[in-house]
Amino acid sequence: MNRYGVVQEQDWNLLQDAEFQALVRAEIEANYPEELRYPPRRLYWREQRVWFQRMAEKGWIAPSWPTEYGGMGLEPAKLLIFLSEQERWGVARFQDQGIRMIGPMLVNHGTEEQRRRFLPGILSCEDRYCQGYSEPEAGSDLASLRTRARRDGDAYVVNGSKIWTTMAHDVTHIMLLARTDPDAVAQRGISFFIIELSTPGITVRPIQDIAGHRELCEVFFEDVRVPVDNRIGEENAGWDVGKSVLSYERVNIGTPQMPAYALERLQTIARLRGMSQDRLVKGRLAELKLDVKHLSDLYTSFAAILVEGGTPGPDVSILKIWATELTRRIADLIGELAGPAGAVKGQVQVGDEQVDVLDVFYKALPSTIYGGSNDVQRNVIAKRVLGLPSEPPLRGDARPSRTPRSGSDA
Amino acid sequence: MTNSPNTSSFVGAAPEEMLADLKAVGRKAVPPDVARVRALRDEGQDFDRAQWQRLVDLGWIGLSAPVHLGGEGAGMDVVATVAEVLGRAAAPEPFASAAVLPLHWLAQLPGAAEQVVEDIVRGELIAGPAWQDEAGSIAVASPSVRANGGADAPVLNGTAWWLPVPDADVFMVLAQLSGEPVLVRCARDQRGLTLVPLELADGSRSAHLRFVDAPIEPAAVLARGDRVLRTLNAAVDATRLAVSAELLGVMERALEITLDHLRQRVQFGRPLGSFQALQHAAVDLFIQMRLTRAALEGATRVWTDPGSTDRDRAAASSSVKARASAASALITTKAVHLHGAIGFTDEHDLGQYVNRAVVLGAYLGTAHEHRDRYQELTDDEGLNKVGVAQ
Repeated sequence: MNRYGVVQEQDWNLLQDAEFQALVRAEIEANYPEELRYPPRRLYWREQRVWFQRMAEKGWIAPSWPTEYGGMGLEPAKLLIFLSEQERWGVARFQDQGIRMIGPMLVNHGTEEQRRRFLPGILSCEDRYCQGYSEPEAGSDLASLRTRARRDGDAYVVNGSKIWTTMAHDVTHIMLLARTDPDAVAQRGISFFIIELSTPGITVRPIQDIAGHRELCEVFFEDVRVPVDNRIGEENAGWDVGKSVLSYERVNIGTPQMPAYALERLQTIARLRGMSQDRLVKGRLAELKLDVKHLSDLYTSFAAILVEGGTPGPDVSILKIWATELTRRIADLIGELAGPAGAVKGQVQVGDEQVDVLDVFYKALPSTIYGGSNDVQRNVIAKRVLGLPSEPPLRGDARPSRTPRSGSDA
Repeated sequence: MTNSPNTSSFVGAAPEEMLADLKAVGRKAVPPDVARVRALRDEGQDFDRAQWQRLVDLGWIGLSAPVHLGGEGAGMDVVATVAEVLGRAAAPEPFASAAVLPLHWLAQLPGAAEQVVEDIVRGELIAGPAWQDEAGSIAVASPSVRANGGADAPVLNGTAWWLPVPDADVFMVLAQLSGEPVLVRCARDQRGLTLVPLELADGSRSAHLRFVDAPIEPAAVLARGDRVLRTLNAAVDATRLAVSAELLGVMERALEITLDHLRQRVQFGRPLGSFQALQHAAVDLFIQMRLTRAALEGATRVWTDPGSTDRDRAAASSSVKARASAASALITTKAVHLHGAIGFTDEHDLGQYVNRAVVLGAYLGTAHEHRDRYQELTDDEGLNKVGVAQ
């Protein structure tokens, strides 16, 4: 038993890959609710809590965290198996940003007191997080954010609004970037907070998207008092904390999960439409299959950094770019192969089965935008990885010159 | 197709620090030198024998040979590291086709073939593997050269196509004798043998070996039986991994040259690299390079995994060769575009990398062929469709 109360039955990394795979598969197949497989939209917590609470009790909720913090401590190969087994069975994802981002961030930037305070709630799934980064006037240009946090005694008073906060209406906490020094150069006056959404003064309003889902939200802050202890990292040093959270996010968006799921849907639809053996279709399927395989290979090298408790460098953006644009390409081919069924919303009969043909389309479409648009990712790589020179400033751009910006929504 | 244990002798993974050291030392020992390559080409030479000897002295030529035959007994991760250094250097020395391929093939054939291995490792013999059919088929199903006249006085007829090392001292010819595959050692001046040379894009040559009633000594048959084919197929897959690593070196250097150009070249009063359109183009090339590196790491992990089968290894090699062929073509050609006209001139170093990518991209299977093969090797319904060693 470690100090976070999570016990691992064994050191999973000592198992043969095939043994570990069989074990994970057996658990999922025996216990994952059949009606929740391949959900076409994000599920609400009440719909899926039974499964994830089971995972939490089993100690399987944080596969990539080190065991000393209550995770499974899986090495990259095992982590990929763990993820791909969920993929294979169409296991839903919950709003797991606490697992994927807050945990690693607290390990690197939090105090011991903050880890003790926040990690147990994440591990038990009682606390679930959304990401308060983007604002109406600060999307990819995140450093322009205006939400204010003004120090008042042992608390900060927050005013402003956040947007594109996925599932804010279904979680308990928000991670927030807010301006604590309005006079500093853009990135330097920002601090990072964890806030309970039940705090007085917070209003959440869902936004309907073009898929018909209500997953995105706006979050309004009106004189919201946040204890100083909820600030992560130093005052005005939140940009670096936020950036490290984004680098975890890019690893997460860059997992092979979404493209692998999309590829499986593509193969199924090609089969149901009797087109799997078409010479041209086969060639495109084979190419996409290797595109997914090489994403896995690429992911493995970044996952190794996470498992060792590190933070990936700016080159991690290539994962996000490749994973999301690959999913878009798969979605395009699904549309081409689906015929008239490709226009039908929700489940439709294709060959012998009911499938949601547009599911991948609507999953892929926003993915090149969220987590920092792919264009901004390319800017970051060009400057910080390839060492290419900055663009000259636009005339009339009065803002001080900056390091590359990086934005996010999720 | 088989799920039996692998055909080649198993060598586990080397420590990462060791590979990093090897790469650093190797890059110093064999730096990019396109002027040398151009000079060789202008003299009509495919490669430089003195440089080959230096590679022998570095221990690189014998990497793939087992220790008891004088080699290093190294795994594919080590072989790939060296191949990447050579690709980066644009070195024309046929490391993959005249070291990796024959050593992986012959070392698995006990008997007379072992002598050839020892000679190759010592640098005393350059052996050119001659086994491909006219179509350049991705898997060897049956030899295109036939031996008749019986085991006492065999006579070769037919053509071995696409030989990558026409300057070799001897040829290792795959032939069919009395219904079984055999490996024949064949001298350059073999009676009845004609070389039909082809000039390749990078200035090197390849050749078809045409045999017309070519009489060979019975002792020239070094090995016989299905294992000749089985070990050849495994050796070709090992070579594909090495060629892919060489292509990674090629694309990495081409990208490096291009990024330098984008940083330095000024047009419209700005460095080219400050234009966002060109930045994004460069990033897309970088992504392809990183995917190739990841695919190579993924493939070598399979090759150094004691549990992997021939089928796993074949799929791994096809995986990385598909990516390396396509990515090197994209990166080198786009690099020319990003340079402008200077990139299309022979005097610019970039051209050699373009041409190298053309040659190595086609060698032992194109991207298209390997995507197909990977698909079939990893699709259970595709069992037995691809002629990997039985």
